[in-house]
Amino acid sequence: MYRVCSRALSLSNRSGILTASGGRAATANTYDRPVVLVKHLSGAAGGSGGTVKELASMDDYQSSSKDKAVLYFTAKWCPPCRRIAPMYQDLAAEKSDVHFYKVDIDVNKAAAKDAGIMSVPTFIFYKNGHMVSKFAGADYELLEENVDKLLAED
Amino acid sequence: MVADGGETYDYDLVVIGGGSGGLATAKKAANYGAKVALFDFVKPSPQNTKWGLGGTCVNVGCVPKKLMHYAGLMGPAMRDAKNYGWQLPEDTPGFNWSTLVEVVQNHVKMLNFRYRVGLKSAQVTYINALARLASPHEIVYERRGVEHKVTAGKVVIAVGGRPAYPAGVPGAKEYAITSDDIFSLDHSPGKTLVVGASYIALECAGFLTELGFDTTVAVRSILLRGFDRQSAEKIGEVMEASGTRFVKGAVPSSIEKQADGKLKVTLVDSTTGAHVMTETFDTVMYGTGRTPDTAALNLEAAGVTVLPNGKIPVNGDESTNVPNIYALGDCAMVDVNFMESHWANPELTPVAIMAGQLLAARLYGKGTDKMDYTLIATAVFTPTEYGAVGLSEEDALKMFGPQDVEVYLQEFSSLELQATKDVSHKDLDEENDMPPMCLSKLVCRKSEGERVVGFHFVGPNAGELTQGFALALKLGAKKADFDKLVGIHPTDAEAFCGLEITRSSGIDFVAAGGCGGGTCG
Repeated sequence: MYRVCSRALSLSNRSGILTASGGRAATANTYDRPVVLVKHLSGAAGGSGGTVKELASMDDYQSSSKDKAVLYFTAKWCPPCRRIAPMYQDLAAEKSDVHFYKVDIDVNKAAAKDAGIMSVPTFIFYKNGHMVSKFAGADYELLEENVDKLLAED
Repeated sequence: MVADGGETYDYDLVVIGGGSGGLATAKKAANYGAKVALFDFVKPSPQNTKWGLGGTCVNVGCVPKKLMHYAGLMGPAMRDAKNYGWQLPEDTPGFNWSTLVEVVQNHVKMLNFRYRVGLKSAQVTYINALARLASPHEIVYERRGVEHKVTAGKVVIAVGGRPAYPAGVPGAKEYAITSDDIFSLDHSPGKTLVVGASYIALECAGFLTELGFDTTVAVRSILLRGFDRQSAEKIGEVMEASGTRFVKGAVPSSIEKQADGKLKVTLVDSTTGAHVMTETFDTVMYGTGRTPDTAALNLEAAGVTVLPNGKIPVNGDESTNVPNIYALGDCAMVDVNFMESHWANPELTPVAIMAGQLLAARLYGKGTDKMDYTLIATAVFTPTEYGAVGLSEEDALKMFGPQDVEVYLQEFSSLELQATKDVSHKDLDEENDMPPMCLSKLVCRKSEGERVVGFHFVGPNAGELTQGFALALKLGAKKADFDKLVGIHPTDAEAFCGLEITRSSGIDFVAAGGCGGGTCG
């Protein structure tokens, strides 16, 4: 797991969002603020309504909307996950036309197995019930890029 | 289907047991191209503790133990900090057990995941079910009440062991925990009685004491049976001075749960059975040895020989009496021959891993090396650690006779501790006084030019210190080689460079001055 986590770290370092000197560091620092403040401003129809919903069981996982959705597979012991989690929450608030889900791989082992998760964090993107893309690592830019791609599609 | 000697099987290899040895064997064999399945199933402990893939070491052994040991060491470090000028709050720092358990268990979960992914990457089929043998090539298991069968060309049994409970002690199995439970205990252990003086018992008693719990150890006869006596006694002496209470020559005869939830334990004399004391504890933990987990394997169906102690006897190549079945790790017993003396393979994770990897390389690769079970270093992670390689002083005397053995030794205290503590054998009533915490000892065989056949160190970081010295013993180092070694100053390890006092000289081996293990000053 060290290998997996360090890979995720290096990905995030490359994207420059998690380091003090990175281009987005200032943005990253603002993630301490409560997400709830933004939530009400953006509660559009169709998507997540601005919140991240946890899929704690196989039933939750299977019945979750795969219309325009992103599934974030995470674990409590994964430091890069801890760092990207608040950014993911903010992104959910910002892009409320997409469903934002979270799966803790120790809580919902069956879902992690079904999705073939080999490292955390892993993000999987769905459109019309089909997986359109997937990547591993705490790479915020790649995450945002993929969410925007989902939004841009009909 | 795979072919092996004209027969076809579902798998080339089935490994039973997903601990250190089983995982290493399975992954290595798969790397060599074998089609491999691995069975792992954790039977809940009597206190209903369960865990994931990875076996004892990862879940309920070395890994959580080392983390709690580390947490424990911060206690005395904080007390020392004041002596060194750190201005800490006057109150004793509080300790939160559930935070520790959460940190430890999260790390364990990470390792569980890593092992699951590791098997997947290696293309090993992981079957989370309790396997048993139906014949030498058939393995059966149940899933949701349905029996399944797989066939295999070869079978490796690496099921390890589980903590033993004593027979005939009312309340023991009902109320007492073991090392299977302590690392995930959902409540603070509180006042604890540790039963036994195995390394597992002393390690747990050690960290519990340092974390601030009132800890008592009930010792049936001696500390750390099988280890060097003087080193074992040194650990006991230092632990006692650090606040662990020892009740010697006593075993529980009954454990009763009181109305308030506390456990009333009656201790009796281990030889006469006479009443020693009755006292209440919040937690009772047994650390009185481990039993190989072979009973449910149905080994007789395959014709595999099992010893009365539950272990599977194997040859130096881990083969059992059945040609296609192998066993390794804590459930296997190898006759280790060292200098014409015989004993069993040590129950250690790295031993099982290396034995499994070498076996896989011989079976499916081009490997020819067999596991060398001699001169394996080990460490006991009591707060003051103990590291050893090779023979204890007692074993050397028994094997070679007193005329052929010379022992070089020194007791001393670490420089860092000496600076603020009165380190003497006497006057231990002051809070900061400690007996000398370090013991360096080389056991040498005279007739081989004083070849070092036993290395022992009690002191801080003994685990780290002993690993490198093990190589010297493997390479056949003699006392004169140690004398030519230049020390790193100031360290405890440098005491091994030029040990002068011999046991036979009768000179006091407790250092009067000097700094650290060195001889300056």
